[in-house]
Amino acid sequence: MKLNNENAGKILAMYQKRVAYIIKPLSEKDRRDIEMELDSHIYESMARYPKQDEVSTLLYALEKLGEPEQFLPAVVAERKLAQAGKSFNPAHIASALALNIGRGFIKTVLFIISSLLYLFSAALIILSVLKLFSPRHTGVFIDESSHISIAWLQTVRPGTRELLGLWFTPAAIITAALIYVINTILLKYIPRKRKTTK
Amino acid sequence: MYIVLLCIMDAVVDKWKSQVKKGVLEFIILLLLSRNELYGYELLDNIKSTTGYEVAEGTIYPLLNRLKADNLIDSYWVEMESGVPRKYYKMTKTGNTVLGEMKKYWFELNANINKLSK
Repeated sequence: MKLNNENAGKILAMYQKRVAYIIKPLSEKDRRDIEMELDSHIYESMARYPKQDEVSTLLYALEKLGEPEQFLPAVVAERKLAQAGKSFNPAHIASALALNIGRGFIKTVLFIISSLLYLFSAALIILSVLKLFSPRHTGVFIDESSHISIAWLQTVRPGTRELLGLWFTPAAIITAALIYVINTILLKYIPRKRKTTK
Repeated sequence: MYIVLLCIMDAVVDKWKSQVKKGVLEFIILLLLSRNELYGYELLDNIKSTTGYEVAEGTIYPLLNRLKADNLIDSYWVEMESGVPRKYYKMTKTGNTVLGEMKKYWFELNANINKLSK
C-alpha cells in the first residue's frame, strides 16, 4: 500500500514493522497473508473515514484497528499450531507449544501435558540408542517391589531385571513415534481462547 | 448511595452484555457470511449495521482465523482496481451445517427465555 504523504508512509512502515516482528515465527506464506489483510483493512478504513489530511486519516484507521501486539498473537499461535499439525516438524511443534502456553488456564494445562508427552517421546528415542551401547543398563526394569521403570540405570541392583531385552529398541522407537504422531494430531483439538468484543 | 447502586447495576449489566456479545459474535459472523461473501472490513460494517455491536476491529481477525481453522469458513483473495486486494470470506459446507445447528439451538433458547420472561 502506497501513501502520498511522507510522514504517513513512515507511520505506516512503523506499524508494519511491529506486525512483521509479531508474525516472525510464521511461514512466509502466512506472513504475507496477514500483512496483505491488514494493509487491505487499513486501506478500506482510510477510504471510508477520510480526515483533513493523510496522517490524521491513517492514525484514525490504525487506532480503530488496534495494537497488533493485542490481537495478532492469537492469530500467530493458531497458525503456528496448524503449521505444526501439518508438517510434524519438531521445530514448528516446539514453537507452537511455546506460543500457545499461557493462552488460558485449561489450554496451558493441556499444552504442558502435550509438552511432557513430547519429552517422554524424546526420552524413549535416547534410551533406544543407549540400549545399543549399554544393553544391560537400559530398558524396562522391574524391581523386587514390582516397581516398573523405563530408564538407564548406572547400577542395576540385585533382584532388578530387565523385561524386554533387545526388543526394547524397536519397542521404544515405535512407542515414541506413535506418541509423537498422536500428540501432534491432537494438538489442533486443544480448545482455544476467544476474545473479541469491546 | 442511590448513585453508587446505579453505577454497580450499570457495571453488572455492561459485563453481562459483553459476555452475551462474546458468545454470539461467532454466530453473527456465520449468519452474515451465509448471506454474502464479505471481506474483513465489510464484515465489521455489517456487524455494526445489523446488530449495533461495536467490535474491536483487530480482534475480528483471530476469530476469522479460528473459524477458518475449524473449516467453518474459507477465504480467497480478489485483486482490486485500487491495487490493494481484498480477502473475502465465505461459508463452507461444514459451516452451513454448524450454522443450522446453532440456529436451532438459538430458537429453542430464545423461546425458553421468552417463556421465563413472561
